[in-house]
Amino acid sequence: MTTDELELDALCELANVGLSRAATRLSQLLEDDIEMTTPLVRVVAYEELQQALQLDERTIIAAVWQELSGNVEGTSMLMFPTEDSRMLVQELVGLSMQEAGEIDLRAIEHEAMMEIGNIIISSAMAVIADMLGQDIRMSMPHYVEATLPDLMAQRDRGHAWQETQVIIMNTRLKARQREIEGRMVMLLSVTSVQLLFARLRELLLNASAAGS
Amino acid sequence: MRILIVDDSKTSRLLFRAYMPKGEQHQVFEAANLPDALGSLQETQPELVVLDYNMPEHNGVEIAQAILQAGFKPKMALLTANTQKMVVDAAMAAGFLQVLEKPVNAEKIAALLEQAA
Repeated sequence: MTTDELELDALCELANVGLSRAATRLSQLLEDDIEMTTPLVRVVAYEELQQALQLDERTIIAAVWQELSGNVEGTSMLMFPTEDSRMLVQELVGLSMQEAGEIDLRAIEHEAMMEIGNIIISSAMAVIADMLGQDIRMSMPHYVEATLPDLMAQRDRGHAWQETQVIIMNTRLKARQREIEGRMVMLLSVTSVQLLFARLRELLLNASAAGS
Repeated sequence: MRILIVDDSKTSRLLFRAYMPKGEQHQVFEAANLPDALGSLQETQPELVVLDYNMPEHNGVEIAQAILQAGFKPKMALLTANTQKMVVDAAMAAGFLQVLEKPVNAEKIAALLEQAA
């Protein structure tokens, strides 16, 4: 295995641990079995993001995202088709349209999705930060229902950093009994990619030395 | 103790080795998938097999079932960050000794080895 292959392997393992933790947390929230695909990890040019995610540019998705800052800069996103996000919220909040009455059900949905997203994203990021020994701060969650290009445009506004390359860590999470299927995606800046590889090299070197 | 670690990730295998107790007489062997695991079992006859859960072709529970069907009877532990009930129940039903939560550390591995001894 070359150094590059080993770094990519380490990145895959990092994604696997983080996203598995997210699946566990979603399973606890829904009290349902969550099937997850083996995470797909790729380093791609920012312009190729949509193609890499294999999402139709007209599909409207419900997404919760949190900005990452500190030693790692990027964005962690949880995405569901809009119908699935509604089902998810109604399952969790336990409110039907009738029960909601005068309450703005949409507002409840937004709030609940941000909370769900925050719990799942935080669980994945916390374990990744611990493994890397890095301080990763997270912004408050944002919620939007939009196509991927619109979502990315909203996310890009006010960004202090500009990506040319991003790491995509992508997995599908599917609830077995409820036909709810989502994706978790992490995008990291070039600087973060370099830092991450440096930390992974260190981690692997330490592990090799300790294991030999 | 002879231990076989089955994980598609070289990193995960390295980390497992790194956190093994020092100064004790353990031999660690590695496999990345089901065919490698069966080959290694035949060759090394490990007392303990530690399997990752989330692997591309067969998950850890499926590999454990194949190991038992092939006539091997090692003690087994599942290694995963996916500790949802479905996974833990499947592991227990397949006869796993323990589900070891990733990321591993020296304490978790020491506890596993003590249980497997």
